[in-house]
Amino acid sequence: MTTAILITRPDHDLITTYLYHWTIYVINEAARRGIKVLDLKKDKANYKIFKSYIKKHQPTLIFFNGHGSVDSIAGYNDEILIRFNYNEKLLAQKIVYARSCDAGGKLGLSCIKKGTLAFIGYRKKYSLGYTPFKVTKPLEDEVARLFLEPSNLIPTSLLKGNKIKDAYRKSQEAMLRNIRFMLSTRATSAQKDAVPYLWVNRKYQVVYGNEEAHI
Amino acid sequence: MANDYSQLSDKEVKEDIRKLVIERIKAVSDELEISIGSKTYSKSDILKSLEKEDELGKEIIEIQMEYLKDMARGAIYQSKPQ
Repeated sequence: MTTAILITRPDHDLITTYLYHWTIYVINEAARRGIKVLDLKKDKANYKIFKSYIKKHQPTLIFFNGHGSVDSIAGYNDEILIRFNYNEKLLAQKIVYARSCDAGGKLGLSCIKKGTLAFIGYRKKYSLGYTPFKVTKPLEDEVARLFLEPSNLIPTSLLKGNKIKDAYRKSQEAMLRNIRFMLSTRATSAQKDAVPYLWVNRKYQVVYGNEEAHI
Repeated sequence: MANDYSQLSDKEVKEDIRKLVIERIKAVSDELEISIGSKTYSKSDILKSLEKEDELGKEIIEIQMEYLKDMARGAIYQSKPQ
């Protein structure tokens, strides 16, 4: 039975600020379903709190928003939270979604080897198109929406009880729908021009582990 | 990425690709900026990088070429997850 999910959402630069704000939809979905959210926002997304919250609350889903690399996932001010061949065991028996660059490569696979139930991430850099004059109102950015709504579908689908494979499929399908919209005459120029970046996000979004798992 | 622009040995082809991408970026709306990894880039930042052919420039070329190749083979009409 789900007791809690853990979300990291630092806000120390432009992209993490966008992720910070857009993650509110996931938090709201959890609240609607009565699921406890361990919200490691802003400077709370640091290693000390991250580790203690995992040990104390044993969340079933961990949703990272922050910078990543082939061998790490970071929190506030890029403090490393998970490092390859070091502390992946913190994620054992958990479902992980890393909205971070590159962590869906060797780090994601290593997490699975060390007991993570399932891992969804990106095995290349995560790109985000955005509107320069909307940076103070990220939730009103109609370019960023096309990138972030489909990625939010991973955790929101899981919160609704979907299996990993279905959450992944829904996110993939939503990105494809957005890409088709972006190529249509209904899209703005900026939305059209952002297509290649959403395309590579979709192409390199990966899922490992037990695809039947759910929270 | 799969296109391996950096690995291309034919200098003429490489230069043609770079010029193609520069023209595509020149046509991009000024109302779009891109964040790749931890950094954010305007259209002029990207054009400067393409002219210099630095790491960002190479990355942009690879993203654009990967997209164009996938579109040319009709990948957008395949609905299966990647």
